[in-house]
Parts: sequence; C-alpha cells; structure tokens
Amino acid sequence: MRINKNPKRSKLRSIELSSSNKRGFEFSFSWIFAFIAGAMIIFLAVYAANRLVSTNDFVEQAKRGKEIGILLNPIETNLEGAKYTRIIVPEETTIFNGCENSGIFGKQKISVALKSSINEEEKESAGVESSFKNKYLFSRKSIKSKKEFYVLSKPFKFPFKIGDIMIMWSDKEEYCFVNAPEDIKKELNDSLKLDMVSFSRTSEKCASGSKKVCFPPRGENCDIEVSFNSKSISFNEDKKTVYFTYFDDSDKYSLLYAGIFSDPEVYECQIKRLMGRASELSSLYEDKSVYLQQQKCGSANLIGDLESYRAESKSMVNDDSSLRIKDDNFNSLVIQLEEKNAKLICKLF
Amino acid sequence: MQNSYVNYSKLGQLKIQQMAFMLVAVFILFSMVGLVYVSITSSQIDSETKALRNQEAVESVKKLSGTAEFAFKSGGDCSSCIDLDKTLMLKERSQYKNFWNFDYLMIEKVYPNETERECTKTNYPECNKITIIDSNDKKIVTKTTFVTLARWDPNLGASGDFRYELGRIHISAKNIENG
Repeated sequence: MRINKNPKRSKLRSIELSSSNKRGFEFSFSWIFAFIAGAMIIFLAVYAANRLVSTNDFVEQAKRGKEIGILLNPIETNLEGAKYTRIIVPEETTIFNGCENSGIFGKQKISVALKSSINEEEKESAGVESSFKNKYLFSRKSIKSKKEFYVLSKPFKFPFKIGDIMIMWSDKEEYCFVNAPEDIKKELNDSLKLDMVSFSRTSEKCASGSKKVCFPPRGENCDIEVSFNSKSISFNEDKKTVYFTYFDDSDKYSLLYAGIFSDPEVYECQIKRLMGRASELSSLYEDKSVYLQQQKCGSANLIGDLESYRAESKSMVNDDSSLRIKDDNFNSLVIQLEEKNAKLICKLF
Repeated sequence: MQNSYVNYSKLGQLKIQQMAFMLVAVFILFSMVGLVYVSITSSQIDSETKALRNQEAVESVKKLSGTAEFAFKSGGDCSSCIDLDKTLMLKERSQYKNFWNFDYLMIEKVYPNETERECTKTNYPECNKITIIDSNDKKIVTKTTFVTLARWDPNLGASGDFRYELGRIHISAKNIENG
C-alpha cells in the first residue's frame, strides 16, 4: 500500500497562503514554543525569587528570635533587686512567647515574626523557635511592637534564689495602675521609670486604650484586679484568676508584676517551671547540707525541711493552678527554712 | 508492505533544535546562578550562627556566677562569687547536662595552686577543677572569665569560715569561634 502525499497538509498550506495574502498574522510553531518556554521561565524565576525572599525572611526571623534570647542574658540579676531595659527593633516585630512544661525544667520558647518588606503583611508563621531551659519570660502569648520591647527582670527567691523572672511588654501596650500602693509606685515609677506604665488614683483618669490594673479597694472598669488579701490577680476579660506569693520584702512583688503583664496560661506554665527548678535546687542544697555536716557546720537540721520543700514543689509542677503557691503551710515551710538557714554558721543559701 | 514517510521541513527542525539548545543553556545558567546564591547564603547563615553562638557563650559566661546553681549567697554580697561546695554537688547531677546551651562547662581553681586533678567528693578540696559538662571533643575552644571561688573551710579561724580563692569558668557552645 502506498500513502499518497497528504491531501490535508496541502489543504492547510493553501489556507496558510490565502491567510497571508489577507495580511493576517503568521504564528509559526517556533513562536508558540518561544512564548510557552518564555512564560515558563518567567514563572519559574518569579516563583524562585518569591521562595528566596520567604526563606530569607524565615532565616531573619530565626536569627532575631535567638538574638532576643541572648539579649535576655545581660538583663539577668545578680545582686540587684530589679533591672529594666529596652530592646529596640528595626521594624515592626511580634515575639511569640511559648512555654512548655515538659521534663524537669520545661522549656522557654521564643520565636519572632517580622513584617515582610515586600507585601507589608505580617507573616502568619514565625521563624524557628529558640528554646532555653534556664529562662522564664512572663508576657502575653504574642507581643507586637512598633519599635521597642521593655523587659523588667526581677529575682524570684523562695527562700533561696530560684531564677530570674523576665517580664516583657511593648510600646503597643499601655498599662494604668489604679490606686497602686506607694512602694509599687516608688519602685516602678520613681526608681525604674518604666515606659508605658502610668499611675492614677481613679480608672477614669487613665488614658483610653490602656489596660487598667486596679489595686484595692476595688475600682471600676478594671481589666485586671489585684487582691492582696487573697494574693490573686483576676483578668476580667478572660474570667481567669492567677495567684502570687512573696517571701522576701526586697523582692516582694516579683510574681505580682509577672502576673499582671502575662497571659494567665503563660503565668501558670512558668510558675510550674520555676517550681520544677526549685525542686532540683532543694535537692542540691540537701546534698550540700549532708556534705557540710561532715565539715562541722551543723546543717543537718535543714535536711528534713528541704525534703518536704522538694516534695511539695515537685508536686506543684503537675498542678492545674498556681493556687498552691500561696498555700499557708508551704509558705510557713519556706519561712522556717529561711530562719533555720540564717542561724547556721555556714549558711546553705 | 511499503514504508510510510512524512516530509518535514528541515529549516523548522533546525529552529526547534536551536530553541531546545537555548532552553537548556538558559536552564543551566539559572541553575548555576542559583547554586552560587545558595552557597553564598548558606555560608553567610553558617557564619551568623557561629557569631550568635559566640555571643551567647560570651553573655552566658559573664552571668553564670549569678545563676541559682552557682551563686554564693552564704557569706554576704559577692556578685562574682561561685559556691564551690554547691558546684561539687552539681557535678553529679545528670539533670543539668542539658540545662544550659553549653557543650562544655568547667570551673578551675587558679590560685592557690593545687595538684592538677579533677575534683571528686573524696579528694575535694585537694583538687583544681570541677567539670560539670564534659565534651568528647579535645579541640574545644572555650570562653573564660575570672571568678571568686568560695567554700566552707572548717579549719579556718576558731570554728571554721568561708575561704575565698581565685578561679576561672570555662564554657563552650557548639562550634564556638575563637575570639
């Protein structure tokens, strides 16, 4: 069988010729191919550029998260009663405060989201989380800032130093302390000169948009209410209450400030982590007291109290609420430990 | 049976070949540019990571004497004092191996000179170093700061007292840069 020259092909040729005669546009295969290939190359280039920018943003966010974690180191207290500092960021930044209560010490997770330079929209997903086992950041779950973050660091002693409480807020959150006790006003306003925190006699005099923190007697239109009798901080919006305690007069309000500036969930989680560390530290002091007893120190009479303290603080790690931190028996034990330690010729802590 | 054939234009085939070569060339060019970019970026990330770890180590070593596990609060206010008795107890606690982001953490007594050996409960205080976090890497580079080491000495004074000696903290984060 022999195939003749394709009659359809010859027909097409004739159409082509006739259309060219009518000043039509000849669209050859090479042109179609160039358009498709060109479009694909441009698409791939745009896609790759987009991916590169988002990867760069991700890296930058991860870097910023780690930097903020590192910057918290010099803010830690040594002999100081409190330290206050500002962290200035070059662009609008959101810090995500993640608290994980797993293992003995739990984890402080910090991640950062930056406002993208291309689409001016904040990234939904933050950069890689940087985790720290020895830091305790008390704040809202996410803190947005235009330019500045503020960090107040206070030691938490109960009765020995357990860790540094880092309280963080930003230039987008204003707090108004209504009817605050004179010693709080003196510390926060006169000594530390905190930014974005004002003091007022009545809630009506507070700036609009500010969070009103009311101290006793009970005020009106309060966002947060503090009670010294029940050692509680109530969040009226969330309908949640957290509890605080204090032992040392010089660092009396560490947990109170932490509670005011934090989300209840963050506060509860960090308290559990602090209690986990307290339990380990008491065990360390138990070992030290056994060793020093052999060195004519007379530290053996603290061992029983330290054991009770360790058991009590360890059980609090699994509690749902911070309620037990203000428990009278536990607080009496803490005072007893401090008194016995003060009488030693070689103090344990 | 006879063979069938189609008569294609040779010029058209040549153009398609040219286009294909061009496409391959463009693709290779883009890939090479991409590879160069990725290698530059990854080396930048690597150096930034090292710088961050270096910074973390420097900041940590400055503040370590103030942390609850090391701080000496038994004998008055001393900001750079380390409680050596407490540190010896800390050495035996595996829970603390991953507590700080360090690969290596060692406290060394500098003065007065002691026999060069690791401290244990049996030879303490006749020793000169307490290694809390040990590293298998022998070429490790550390950040160091001088501190005061305080310990209870039952033979000092009439009924014992705290003895203060000169010491150093050595710490290392992963892949730390020298300097």
